Amino acid sequence: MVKKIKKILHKLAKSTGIKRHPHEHHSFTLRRLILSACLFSLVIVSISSWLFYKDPRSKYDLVRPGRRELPNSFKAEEDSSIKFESKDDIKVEIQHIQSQLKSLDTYGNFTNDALSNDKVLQNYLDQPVLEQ
Amino acid sequence: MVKIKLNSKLLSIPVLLGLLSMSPYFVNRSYAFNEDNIYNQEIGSKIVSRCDIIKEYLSKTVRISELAARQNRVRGWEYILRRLDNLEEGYIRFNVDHSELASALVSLRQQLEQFKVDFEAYDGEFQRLLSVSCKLDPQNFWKQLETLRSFRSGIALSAENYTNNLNSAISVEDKKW
Repeated sequence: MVKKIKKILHKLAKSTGIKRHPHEHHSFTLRRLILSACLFSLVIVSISSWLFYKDPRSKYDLVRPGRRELPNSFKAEEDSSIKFESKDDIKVEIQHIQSQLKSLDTYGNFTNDALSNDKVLQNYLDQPVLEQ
Repeated sequence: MVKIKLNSKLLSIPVLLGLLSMSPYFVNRSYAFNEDNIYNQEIGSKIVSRCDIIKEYLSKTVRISELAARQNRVRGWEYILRRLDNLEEGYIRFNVDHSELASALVSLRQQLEQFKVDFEAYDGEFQRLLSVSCKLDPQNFWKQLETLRSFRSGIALSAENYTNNLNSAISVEDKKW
């Protein structure tokens, strides 16, 4: 039984490329490269899955292509500490923060009528089609 | 004295008449407002016949754009909070009391966490709506949609309140300089 299992494992190792065939002279064979690429992708997938499930909110931070994203001005200097040489510098900075807060409205809100009867029931389909 | 009483009685009659004449307008208005959202045969048949389009609209247009809006909002607010954190150095340098801003930031961070929790609940309701079969159970689908609408108005209010609170905290700090 053990012998049989060993034989199967040996065969499997050879077919997947873990063990080298007698006719293979190079250590980097195509099969081995494919196998290592598969293993590498498995590692990447498992790490990203772990990161995703670690925090249930992480799904909200996924990048959604085609959607309006915040401009770079919201990302720049975020970690660098700004040097304040005078009191005016602080006042300017506070006013700048306030203007950025106001501009946030343009990057999505929840006040539109996306869930209105008209939109949900697709009432535009009731409109008669104009004949050409 | 009698004269005044008579006058007040006389005055109250047209006021009452006026209110009575206006009451059907208010009744009709409120009825009309509720009527739109009450499930009926017409709504049911529309839901069943347009089920696929409705589901696609809700899942691919509304939900995705709201997730993006939430992402932008939260990132923007977090960025602003970090910028406000950075002001501490300047406050210390120019001997201005920083404690008020520090406590406001603690409170704002708690409110932000609450917004995230509220949004999670809203998104949970959204997923529940999408899991209801609009072809087999249109009435339940409509009921779930009504629930989602109330959650959505809560989220809108929460976002507006947060922006107002953040804005007032910044205005308070602006006045100090």
